[in-house]
Amino acid sequence: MNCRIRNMRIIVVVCIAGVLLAGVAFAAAAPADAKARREREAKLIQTLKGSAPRAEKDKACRELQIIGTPACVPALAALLADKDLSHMARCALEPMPYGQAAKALRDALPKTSGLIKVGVIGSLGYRRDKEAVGELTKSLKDRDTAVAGAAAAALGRIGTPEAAKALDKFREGAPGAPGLRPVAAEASLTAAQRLLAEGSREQAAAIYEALQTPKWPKHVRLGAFTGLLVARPTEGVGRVTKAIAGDDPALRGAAIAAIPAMKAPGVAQRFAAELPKLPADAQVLLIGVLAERADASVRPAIVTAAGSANPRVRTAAVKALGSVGDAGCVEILCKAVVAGKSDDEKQVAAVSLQRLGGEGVDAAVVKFMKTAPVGSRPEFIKALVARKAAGAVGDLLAEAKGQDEGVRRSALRALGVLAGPKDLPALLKLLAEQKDDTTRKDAERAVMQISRKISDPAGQADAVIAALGKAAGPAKCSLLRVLGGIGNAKALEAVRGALKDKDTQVREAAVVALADWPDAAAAPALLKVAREGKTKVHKILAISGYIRLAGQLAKQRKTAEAMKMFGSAASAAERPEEKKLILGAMRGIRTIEALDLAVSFVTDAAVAREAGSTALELAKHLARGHPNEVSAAMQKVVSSCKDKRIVDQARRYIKKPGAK
Amino acid sequence: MSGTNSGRLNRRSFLQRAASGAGGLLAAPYVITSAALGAEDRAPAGERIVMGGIGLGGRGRYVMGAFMRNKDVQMVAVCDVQSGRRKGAKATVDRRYGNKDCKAYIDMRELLARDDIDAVVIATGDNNHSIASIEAARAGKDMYCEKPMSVAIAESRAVAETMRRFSRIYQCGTQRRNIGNFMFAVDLARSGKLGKLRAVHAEKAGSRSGVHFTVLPAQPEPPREVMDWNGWLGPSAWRPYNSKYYTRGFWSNHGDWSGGSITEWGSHTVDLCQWACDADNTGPVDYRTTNQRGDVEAVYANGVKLIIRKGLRFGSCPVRFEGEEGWVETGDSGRIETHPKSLLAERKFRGGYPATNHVREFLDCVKTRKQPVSTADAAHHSITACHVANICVRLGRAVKWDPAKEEFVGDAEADRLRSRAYRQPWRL
Repeated sequence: MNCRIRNMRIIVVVCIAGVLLAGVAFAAAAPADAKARREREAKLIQTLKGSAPRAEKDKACRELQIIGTPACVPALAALLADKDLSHMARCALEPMPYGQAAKALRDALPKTSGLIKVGVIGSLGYRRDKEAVGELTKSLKDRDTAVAGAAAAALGRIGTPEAAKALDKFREGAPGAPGLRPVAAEASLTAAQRLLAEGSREQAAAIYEALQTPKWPKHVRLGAFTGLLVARPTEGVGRVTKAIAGDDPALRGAAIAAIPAMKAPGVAQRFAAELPKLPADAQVLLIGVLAERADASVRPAIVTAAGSANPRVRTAAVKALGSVGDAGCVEILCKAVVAGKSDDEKQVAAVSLQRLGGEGVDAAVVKFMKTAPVGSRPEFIKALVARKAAGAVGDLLAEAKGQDEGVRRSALRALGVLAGPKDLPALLKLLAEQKDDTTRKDAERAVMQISRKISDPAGQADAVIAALGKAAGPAKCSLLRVLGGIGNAKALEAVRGALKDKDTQVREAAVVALADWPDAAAAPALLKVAREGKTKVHKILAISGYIRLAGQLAKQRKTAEAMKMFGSAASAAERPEEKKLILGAMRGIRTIEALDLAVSFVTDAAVAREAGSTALELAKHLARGHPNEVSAAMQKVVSSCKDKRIVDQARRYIKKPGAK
Repeated sequence: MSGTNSGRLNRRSFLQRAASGAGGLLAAPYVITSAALGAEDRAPAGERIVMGGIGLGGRGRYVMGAFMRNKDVQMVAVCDVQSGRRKGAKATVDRRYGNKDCKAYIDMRELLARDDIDAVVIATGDNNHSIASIEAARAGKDMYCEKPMSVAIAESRAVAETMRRFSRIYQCGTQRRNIGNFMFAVDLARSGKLGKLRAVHAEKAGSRSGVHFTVLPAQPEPPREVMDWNGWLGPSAWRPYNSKYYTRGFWSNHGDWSGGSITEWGSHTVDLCQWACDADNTGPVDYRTTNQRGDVEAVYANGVKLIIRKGLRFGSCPVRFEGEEGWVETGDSGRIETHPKSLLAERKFRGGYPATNHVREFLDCVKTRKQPVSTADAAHHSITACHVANICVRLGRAVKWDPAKEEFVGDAEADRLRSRAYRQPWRL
């Protein structure tokens, strides 16, 4: 670090320290008792009056902003014409709750000019000093346009009827300087806002009316328009209607955006009647805000728009029907889903179908679905799921038996969501009837989902176990997979029983179910198969599942249980693949036991590299707390592992002779 | 503040937005650009929103980039008081469009005077956020403005009034209102799933609250083309140039230019708490500090506590909402934790705090003239809660606030800190 940088850093540290002290000092600079305050104020006044540097006087002004009384006003007033200190004096005077402060600012008007005067006028404006209206009105004629503009802005903030009148004259007198027109307009709008807040609605409205003429910039006209909606609320609907129907796109946009706030009865219907008269783009906007109101009275107009030749209008209307439609709109939406002229339109229609409220919608969707082309039925089934249409279960069961695979699969998936435990017998029957693997998987998933809805966890597998007793072949295999998904104690018992089934496929399905078991309850059974299984496939499936469950425990931070299982797995694993699985799963278990187990594999040439890698990974985390154990382990890695990179890294953890 | 769902954003539309994660607003094709709206003698500008960027340091460049990724945006001008940032921003825009058309300005008023610009991104230092927003509105522009909205209460009040005055679209850069995990957490609070709310927690940026007013020794002032010092100071008090002033860790804790730790993150986290409490149009009424570090406990009129502190989990800008029947905590890591766990309904969220959705919402609002979720009024009330907390810390005592009148209760001393006199020629 060079000297300059070091010095700069010291400066920064000192400054930061100064900061904290300054903060404390500032808080302390507002003493609680009156006497101390008076003394402090007197001292600050002396600072202002004396020859202190600018920074000191700035600081005094900041403090007087908080504690200053009328006593300090003369000292501050004396600075108002000072080009360097005027602003800081205003900082103190502007927020003071004393008439003396306002008077000091007013008195400074004739003594100042240019930007200094602009600042003083700004402070009077901030204070909304009504007594300054006369002087400020005179300043509107100042040859310095910056001063005239500041005076206009201040009058706008003061916003009394008198100030507003002065601004009317100023504005309509069309000040010559180009910069003054926007200031005049803004000041008038500000005054109008103030008058509105004070309850002078008509005066405010008159200003807004004047500012709506085309000679004013668009944002002034828009501001005036929205102001009028507040000032004359009873005329709002008519005004908005007129603006929507008019040819000014600016006003039309603002008018449409104002509609959601209009709550009077019949308003939505009135605006909806305008829809057909509008250009397409405006229709899109209006449809959007009408939809937000979710008012049924606009439905006929939206339905009409849904038949528009314009694709954007049509799509907007189809979307809006999701909010304002009812069962009577189902057919329109369903037809749009089937025959929409673009993917966007079809998708919007599908979403609207899902959102549509009211009685009879589900039934209407089902009715349409039954006669719809097979290819579009999955979309309707999806809508029924999104609508949580539990009443459609019977029809979905029928669809699940249909000819088309896509429809069958959609129906089965839907049944998993919509059907309840009472429908389980029908679903089990359906599962037994499945002929191909794809739909069988869907049926299995549905049965599993429904079984899990049974409120008593202990009883969730009962119906499936009952069916298992009567099933054979692929259906029995399916039920075993379902039991694996349910995963309670009774299910485990049933699956373990199936390990002794005469049918090889059933036995294998049982092993698969155990290997996929959701928790470690299946571990003992898996270990037994891994050790004593009659086929190699069963043993591989079982040991893989067992290692997975051990890894699951490790992730749950049940380290001791996990390590016990990994130890058992290590003794049962026969192939390098399973040993690698063990080593991979152990990388996150940062214990000496895991390290030792990993090292025990390094003498096995088939997995020595993986064992060395895992041992090294664990060593990185254990070396600090267990240097001796890690050193010993790494010595074994070095002596057996052939991977140079691993060996080189392992050597770093081996303690040198004599080292402590 | 009323019940759980009386706000502008009803539950249905809220969830639709949460589900879409992108504002969910209809991206209507109707673009009301300046050319289409204002300049009657010109043809409509088509689908594009013509934009400029003001204040383009790291954050500004990021947000500008997020805007430029939208096909309906054409960035045409950049402005920064620092030459390096100005040139870098111009180069970024030119590179994006494969030309040299982007114009660079030192003074934002020159950029704002351009009739062809519809909207601006404002990402100056905090000190200039309010004045830049107000000047943009005066020039008839819509704007996305970075947070915090202001350095003083009176400023953000003025911003909100100015936006109404000119019927502008203003979006505060509180982009977490358009990010899934925060929207989900807020929905849990607003929908009553946490039961009656008891407390909302907002993380502040640093461990210590408060600001400093340090004066550094003068250094030779660079030429205006290199660093427009007067422009950087904006409406704040003049002081001699020193380059240290505009290093981030310095100005962001200096009382002339920022609100320090509380406004830095509070503009997001307090804002989310306000939203969760359905308090977008109000704020807490009683404030007190709870320790030497300047943590603040504020209480709403209905008894809900707003706690501004450190120590929450899940990355930057975390929040926690506690009700009588549950709680939720989340942050920028995207992690979210609830009690009971079932409230989460296995929802997962990506981490980070991208501006993408927020920016898109703004653009849609410019087109539809709808107000965004981070309105000037909502942002004003959120940042006001932060400013009042800061005043409480600065005065070293409890304060009472009247959110309707926007004044302290029987506390003329605190009232004086609601505003800062603007240095001429700037005005609110």
